[in-house]
Amino acid sequence: MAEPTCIQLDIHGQVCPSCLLLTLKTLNQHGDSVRAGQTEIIVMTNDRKSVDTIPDAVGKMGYQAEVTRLESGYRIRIYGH
Amino acid sequence: MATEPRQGTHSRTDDQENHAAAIQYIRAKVDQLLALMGTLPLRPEELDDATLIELDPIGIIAGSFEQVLAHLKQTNHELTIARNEIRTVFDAFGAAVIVVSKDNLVEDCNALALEWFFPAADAAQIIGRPLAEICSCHEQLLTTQHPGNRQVSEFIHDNHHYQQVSSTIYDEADQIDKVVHLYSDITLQKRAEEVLKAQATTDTLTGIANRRQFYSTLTAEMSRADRYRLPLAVIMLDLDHFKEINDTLGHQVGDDVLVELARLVSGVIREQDVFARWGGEEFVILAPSRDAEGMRQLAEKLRSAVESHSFPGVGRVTCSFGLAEYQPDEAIESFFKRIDAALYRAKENGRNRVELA
Repeated sequence: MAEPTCIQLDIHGQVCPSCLLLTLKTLNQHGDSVRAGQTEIIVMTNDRKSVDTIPDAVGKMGYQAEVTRLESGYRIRIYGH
Repeated sequence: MATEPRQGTHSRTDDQENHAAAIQYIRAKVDQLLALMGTLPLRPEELDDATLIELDPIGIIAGSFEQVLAHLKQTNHELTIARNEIRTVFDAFGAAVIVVSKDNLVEDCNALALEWFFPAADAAQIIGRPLAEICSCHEQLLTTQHPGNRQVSEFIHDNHHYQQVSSTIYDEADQIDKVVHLYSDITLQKRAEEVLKAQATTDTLTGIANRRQFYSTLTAEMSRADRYRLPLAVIMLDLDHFKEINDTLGHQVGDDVLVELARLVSGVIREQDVFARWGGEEFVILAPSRDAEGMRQLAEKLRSAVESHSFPGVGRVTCSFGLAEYQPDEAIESFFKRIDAALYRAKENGRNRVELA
């Protein structure tokens, strides 16, 4: 299988729930492609709360989320099964 | 409209108020949806009104809910398939399964459980009822005790031997939720074990006990004799001139003589006496609680029975007898050495006789 396309979403400075809304907006646009494993969404944030809210919300939608701690904040990778 | 529209009288303040009310309404609805999504409400300082409209949160959340529902639908579909799959395995499974609640009410049972334990009932008559009430057939099914993680037991029902494995299922709070009883029919296995056990302890030719079986009985009787100071004697008998029978008449005739001798001796001794083939044409007899004199009389009786019996294809046959009384705390090797010596003397002294060690 080909490497999935990555969509970078830099929301540094934004706080939840805006972070969540911005992530959901992107996810709504690319839902099918993410679900099929063709696209991954990488969210870069420095909002602590997003680390809980984003994986929780996308989990309910059937996606996987993987959080990595970075120096500048967090990297949340959203992908399909 | 209850009131006339006040044309041209729309004040700037009115518009602002309407706008503020609309924004407030949108924010309240967005908050409600966000709460459902599992996050915090929107605060005006995080998102100003203009950005709020531009961002279209209701549109975003609506789209997301659509995906949540699609995911839920897919999950339900997979769950239904999985449930059907489990049911199929459950019913096609080679063991009976009964699932009971923590109050010991039957929650489910598979096809084999019905067939084995409730042949006259259907599932609907069983489910929801106390296990204790529906099966009076055997106590083992009535396990009301919680079995811990896993408990294995065996029981016999309707001529079948069953192994029961009871496992407890715990809920997310680690409380006992239900107990799964799994029953396997191990009848064939048990029968095979019995056959193997019989084969291991029986002499194939004569059908009487073999040397191994005699040895283990004798060991037990020796410790009993030691403990209770009981008399214990063993007779060893040996067919006279058996080699000639084999050499002149053939091994088949020789075997027939051994079988006939075993049958003859079995008819003379008591039920509780242990009679075994020691090997070749040698046999041993152990008669619990009989002393040397009692054994000597038994040996004499056997000697005369053999002597007066007509063996098919051979005619007259005799046996020599050696016997010894067990000395307390004697080693089995020493005991047998003395029995052997007595038998040797019987042979030396002309055969067809009884010698006491």
